[in-house]
Amino acid sequence: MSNEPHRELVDHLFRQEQGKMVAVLTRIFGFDQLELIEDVVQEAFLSALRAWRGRTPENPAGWLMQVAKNRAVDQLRRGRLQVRQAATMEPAAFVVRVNELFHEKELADSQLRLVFACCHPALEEKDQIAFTLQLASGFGVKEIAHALLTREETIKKRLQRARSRIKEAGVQLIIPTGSDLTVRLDAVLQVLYLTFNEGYYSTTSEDVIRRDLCAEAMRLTKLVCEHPVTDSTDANALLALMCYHAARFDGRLGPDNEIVLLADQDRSTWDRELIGVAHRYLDKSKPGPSPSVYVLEAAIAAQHVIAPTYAQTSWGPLLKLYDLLEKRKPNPMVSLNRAVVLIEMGETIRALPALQALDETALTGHEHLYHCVLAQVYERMGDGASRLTHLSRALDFARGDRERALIRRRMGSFIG
Amino acid sequence: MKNFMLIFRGPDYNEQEFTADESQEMMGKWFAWVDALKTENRYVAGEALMPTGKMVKRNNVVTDGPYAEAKELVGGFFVIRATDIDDAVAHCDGFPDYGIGGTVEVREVVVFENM
Repeated sequence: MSNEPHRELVDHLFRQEQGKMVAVLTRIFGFDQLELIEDVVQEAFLSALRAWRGRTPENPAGWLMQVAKNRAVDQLRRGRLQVRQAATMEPAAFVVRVNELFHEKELADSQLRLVFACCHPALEEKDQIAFTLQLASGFGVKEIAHALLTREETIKKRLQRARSRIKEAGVQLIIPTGSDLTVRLDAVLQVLYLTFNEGYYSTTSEDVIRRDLCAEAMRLTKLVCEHPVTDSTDANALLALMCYHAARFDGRLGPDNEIVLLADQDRSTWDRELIGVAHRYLDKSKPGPSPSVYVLEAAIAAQHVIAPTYAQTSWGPLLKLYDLLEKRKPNPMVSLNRAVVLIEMGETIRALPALQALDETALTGHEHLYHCVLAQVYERMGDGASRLTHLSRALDFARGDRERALIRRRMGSFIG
Repeated sequence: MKNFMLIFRGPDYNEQEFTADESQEMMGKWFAWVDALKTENRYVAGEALMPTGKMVKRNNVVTDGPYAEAKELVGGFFVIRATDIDDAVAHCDGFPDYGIGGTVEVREVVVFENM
């Protein structure tokens, strides 16, 4: 027997195909038959596991889809799955329609409908995130728990709650239109934004799963950007923001997985190609006269990546962006970042009162950063005693050796 | 070189509730094992079996089967080339199902001419 070439499947092929198959099948059979559909998809994977041992198909994704389709039609014949809207449709016409929906062009549309359903306002935000990861991204309970640093039991509860709410509310698989679209799209983007941040900013979970989270958030945001109905300023700006951040993924972690601050990052490790993609999406977002939070955050990220060195950052334009962002999204972390920009501009006189106006307790988890920045202000002002006071306060708040080491290295800026 | 049949026993994958990623990982292990056997020119043949079938007895009495404990279902087989039974056993390292309680039975294939 001749040797086959080494067979490797695309990373997470099954996971991605699961999301697609659930999207298409729920669109055909209705969201209320989700459990049966999940069984059909599971059976397709089992068939693959049995059949692919000796021979792998030319097109594994197509093979899986075909099996899922056959299984669904099989279940339909046995009367387990029902088709509501097809009641008036001739069987032959129905098969044609099913084939159409499995077509690549309709796939994106089906997936987007599924994402909208998972982010339905009847669900709580945390449940939306877990549910989207399960249905649209094909993550298992274990993987979601791992990615979100949450116990499996908690995730199971969230998923169960999401499923019952979906049923109670009779959620339909639609892409909303009219005034409904704005509200629902905001919810989708918020979930994708939070999912990305979870992957990007958590430093305790494994690198691999964090990258997966970011990649999934980006894949789904891209779906939103590429659909004619949802292609919008905010969606494009959000994708640009994600690309800017993802471009620095490798540069922001040191050899021991410690955070390397923006000021110290080796800019040659940044992914120039991805930065180019980010520029294009930011360009495509065409923000109006009153830019949204996503636009502002993307523009801030853009300012950082276009600077050849940290010292050469255009602090002036950056301050303007932070001024706007602070108005749009009053948040102590934004104010803290703005104060850092003021310090870098040499405006310590303005930075000090801005920092003093901040409530330390509102910065839960980031208190050490707050004191580090204050220490920096006092350093610039030549007040060594106050500087030491705040550095030691920062050490009090620091969690773990990594943060303490970071403070001891005297932070130039804390932007991660 | 002689031929040996590797008979795979263990629980059906149906009961494992693999996530999509786990299914793919499992598949990757099968690929890796088969590829390793093929690279060494050891792989002769192999098939996977559906988990259910029929049991036929004397007088054509047919029942659903097999009756073996579900944990000991024959899930499939390979035929590989090996110098002797120890060599064949040594080539079972890549079997992916040990972790879920699977076993491999190694049996030499009888060559008619040698009997």
